[in-house]
Amino acid sequence: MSQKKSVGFMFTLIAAALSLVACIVYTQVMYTLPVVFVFLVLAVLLEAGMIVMMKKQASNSNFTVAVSFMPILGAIFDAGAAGAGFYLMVNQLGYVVAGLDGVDTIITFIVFEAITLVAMIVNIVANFLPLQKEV
Amino acid sequence: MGKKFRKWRGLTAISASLLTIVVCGTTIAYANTAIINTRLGTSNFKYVNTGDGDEDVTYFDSDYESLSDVVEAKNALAEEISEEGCVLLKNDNLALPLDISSETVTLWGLNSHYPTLGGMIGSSATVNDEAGQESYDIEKALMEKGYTLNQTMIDLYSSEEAKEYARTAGHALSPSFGPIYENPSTYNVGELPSSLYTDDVLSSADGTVALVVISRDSSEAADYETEMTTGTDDSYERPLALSDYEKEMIALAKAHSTKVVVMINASNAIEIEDLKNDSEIDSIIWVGDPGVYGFLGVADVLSGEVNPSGSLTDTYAVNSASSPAMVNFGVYTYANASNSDASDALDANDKGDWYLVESEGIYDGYKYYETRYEDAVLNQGNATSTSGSSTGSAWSYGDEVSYSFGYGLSYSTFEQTLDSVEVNVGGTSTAKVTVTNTGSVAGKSTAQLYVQAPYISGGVEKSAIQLVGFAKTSELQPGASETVEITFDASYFASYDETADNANGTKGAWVLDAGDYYFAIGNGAHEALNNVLANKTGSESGLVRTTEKDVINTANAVVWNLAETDATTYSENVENQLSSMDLNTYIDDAVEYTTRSDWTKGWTTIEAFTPTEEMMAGLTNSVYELTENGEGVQWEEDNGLTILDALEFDEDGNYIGVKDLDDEFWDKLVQQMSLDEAIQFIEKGGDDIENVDSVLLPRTYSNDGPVGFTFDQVAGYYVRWTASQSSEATYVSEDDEYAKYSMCTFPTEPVMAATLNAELIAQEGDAFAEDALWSNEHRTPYCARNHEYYSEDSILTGLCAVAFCEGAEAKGLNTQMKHFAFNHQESNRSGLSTFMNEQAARENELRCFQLAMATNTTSSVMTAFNRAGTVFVGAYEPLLVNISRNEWGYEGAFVTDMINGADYMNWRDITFAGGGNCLTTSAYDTSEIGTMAASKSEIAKDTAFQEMMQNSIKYWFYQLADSNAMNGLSVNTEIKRVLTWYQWLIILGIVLFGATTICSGLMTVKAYKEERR
Repeated sequence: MSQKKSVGFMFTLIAAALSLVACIVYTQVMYTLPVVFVFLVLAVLLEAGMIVMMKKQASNSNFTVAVSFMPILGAIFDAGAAGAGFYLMVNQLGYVVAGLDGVDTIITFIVFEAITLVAMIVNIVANFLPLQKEV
Repeated sequence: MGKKFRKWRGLTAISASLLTIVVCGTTIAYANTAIINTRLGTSNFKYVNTGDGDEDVTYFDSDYESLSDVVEAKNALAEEISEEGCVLLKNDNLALPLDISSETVTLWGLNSHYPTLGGMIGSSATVNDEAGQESYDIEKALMEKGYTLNQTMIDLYSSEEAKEYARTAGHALSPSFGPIYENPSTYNVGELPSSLYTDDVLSSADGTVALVVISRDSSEAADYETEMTTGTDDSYERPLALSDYEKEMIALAKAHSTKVVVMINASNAIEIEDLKNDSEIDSIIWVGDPGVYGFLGVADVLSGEVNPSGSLTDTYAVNSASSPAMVNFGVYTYANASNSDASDALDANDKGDWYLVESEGIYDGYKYYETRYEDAVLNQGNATSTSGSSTGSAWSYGDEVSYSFGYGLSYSTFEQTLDSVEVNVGGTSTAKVTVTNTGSVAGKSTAQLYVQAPYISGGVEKSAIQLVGFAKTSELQPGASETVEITFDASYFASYDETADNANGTKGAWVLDAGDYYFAIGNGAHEALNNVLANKTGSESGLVRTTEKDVINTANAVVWNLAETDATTYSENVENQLSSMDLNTYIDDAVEYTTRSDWTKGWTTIEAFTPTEEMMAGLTNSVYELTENGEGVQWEEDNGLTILDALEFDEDGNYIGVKDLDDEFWDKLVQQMSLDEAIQFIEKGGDDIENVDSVLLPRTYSNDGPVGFTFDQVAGYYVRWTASQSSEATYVSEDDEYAKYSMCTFPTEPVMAATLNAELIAQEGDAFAEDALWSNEHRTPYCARNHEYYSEDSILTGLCAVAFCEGAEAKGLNTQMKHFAFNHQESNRSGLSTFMNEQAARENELRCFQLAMATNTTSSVMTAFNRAGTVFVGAYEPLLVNISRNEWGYEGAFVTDMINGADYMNWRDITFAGGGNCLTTSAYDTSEIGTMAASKSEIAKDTAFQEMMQNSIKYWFYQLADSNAMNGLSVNTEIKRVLTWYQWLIILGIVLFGATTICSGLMTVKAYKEERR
């Protein structure tokens, strides 16, 4: 019997890809907070770690345990990035809402938030799905 | 893994994600507590009186019984200010006032439907429609006052087709907070092409009065620029000149009306020479940006219910770009700007790419036009050369000025005689003017007193005429007279001589040169100067009248002689301080300043140049580095004091003020703070000073708004909902009918200044106190923020500021003038290097502030975004300490304007240079030098820095103690920290999602183990 990647894994892969895109988009936001990059990079590294552990779980059962719980962390990292991303942009949002600045100054930020929140939701969905199946 | 495990894992992921978001939200909510509390009417502090509750703790009381009374009084005052602020410039054929019982009015110009009431951003005139608060545009105001309007024209302007040409909500300027490397390109005046006026529409106007509205809007973070184009099929020579569409519309109005009245709805002086000379234009009236209720007042003036008595606060030039100040206005970047290819290029983060050189020296506004006029009349200084001439031929006043500073007509006529002038150098001087209403309509008149100081060719630059004071009469019935007294200070007309030798070996002093001083009155600066010239030369030959109503009367100019030059009376502690603002200090002959010794000079644009090494030190920021020095300072001392111990009472127990600033009490009070409190105070106290428990200082907020507290920040009177304030006189319950009303409804500053009525302006300050100031001067007509500043004249601006502050401070409202200093253009205001000579800096811009700061009429001042020379003005010690403190004796506080992560505005330089609190946003945390809080351990080792911190806080405490923030507090008061309902909600969220995360996490582990088994 061996383990084969299942639909849940594909979701985590998509979420990680979205996190990577969000990370790139975030470099273009007006004000950036380093911890946001940390969260997003962790989300991507988590996926890489999961892939590595999946391949080596036959030789180490602890990897199987870790892989089973890792998607939870993925969702948390994306949630952290989305939440922390707001911190520095709150003022800018206020300026735009008050008419002090143009919407163009926050478009990139809105795109970033949308991508990050989608990544978080995809990660959450992945948690409800099997990551791998026995064949 | 199985379904059960996946279900619990999924739920864990959901709750943990939500928990993370709520935790982040907590941080954001904490960082923005002030504005959230303001918006929600909540508070984190509760005052508990531990005494018997019988003390009178209302140190500053309201004059009103209810909020409705406040609102009604404010509305009435706004209307009255607009009435008195209307400036009648032309009134041929007695076209005004209108007989509204018989005359129908056709409003002409698309901007009659889309007028500008205020500015944009901090000066937006706003009402809360949803709360039922009314706003009055031109149409609504006229109808409210009983006018009959041509509905057909209103229907055209209201149509969707017309809307395509309109400015949005009266605005077409494009404010920008970001860097600008090219001058703004387009400005749409918002007028219709004549082709849209159908025959039906035109015939509907036949037989009616044409009220033509010409409008230009105003905004923070924007400027006009001479090379702008409309961006539409319309066109103009300059944005402040009439556009083709406007000219076509006026032509139609003339052809289809019984008479034509032009209303100028703008704070920037626009070009109206053609209208002035057009015999088919009967009247011109300037109304500025009158705010939400101002057009009601304008309506009363048009109908004759009120007689106009306003005076122009700016020169109306034939060509708005003809002054020497316009030679250097706009976007100029250093040769090594960050967007250049230079190897030693500036860094974009330094915000140091731009500069502005004010090469005109002291000759801004009327000081240029009138001084050159005198020299042209006297044939001196090459005044009639073609340099700076709008026509290209010999310079002539008549070709250059339409209406001078201070000009204004009435429906009546007034005769003014200058009875006496008593000058008391070092004391208070007075002039008496008798005003007689020689016409047939009751009305007010303003006596304006000007002076000409003796000028020696090649000596200190001097304006040929300058305002020193004014006084307004009461309403005079026909035939009635009133003698008004104008008080002034001889320092108002002292000149700053950078070359004067002081006894201590330094240079620079305020000088009153020996010679004849001509004091004159007149309907504006030009008439006063004509009186001087006629008196001085004994002839009216060569004198130019701007209008046929100008009167030249030699008796209205008197001579006062000063036998010996006085360079000491106004020069205590004075010496040159601002040489680092003069570009010639760094680069020899870089600037050729305007001089009346040769008017052909000073017309050179300062093109891109490379800053010197010394200049680069300022442009690349942070100067002060924290070091380990000194013996340390005292914090957390147990002196047993509270800020309430500063309050002093008379023998009857009435509050009379606070202890003097030099009382050691203040040092001891500050020493009770912890270093953490002090850091919080300076770093976050820009507009939200947290309570300081160690001294019992309650939380205080600062909010801006030159026309009233801004609605987007304060959100109306319901800021007073806070239940903990229910014992205060200003408390408003949540269900008050007026609770959601916007406070920002007043006319803009030029309208206030145009009243030349200090009493009325003080009433507005008082009204602000029932419910925060602007004192830069108008350097050019092209600064789109001129609507927030009073005028082009330093004395008028300063006196208006003093009047307003007196009104506000009397009720315990701490005022905060801004932008200190030299904020003369909005484009690239952040980091803009501003260069000028010291005489210009002191006599023009700084005098505006000096009048209020040297008298300590204002309790605080907000520094500007720009640099003084190459140093951030909020960290410019020569200005903040040497001039403000040491020369003027200013005892108020400083605060920076908004620091958005810009390192050139950094807390180290600000604090060490004698600056004040930092107005920071969350973006400030991105500053490269880091936050004060993060540098606490380094700060704790730097004694000199901590001493400056304590010094800065001392001024704040001194001012806050003498404010209405003390209302409700006594020595028996304890301030308790409480949580608001939304903070409880956040805590509940953390607890809820925390618990579900833990539970679902445990269930996930349990399910995992079960399935593994």
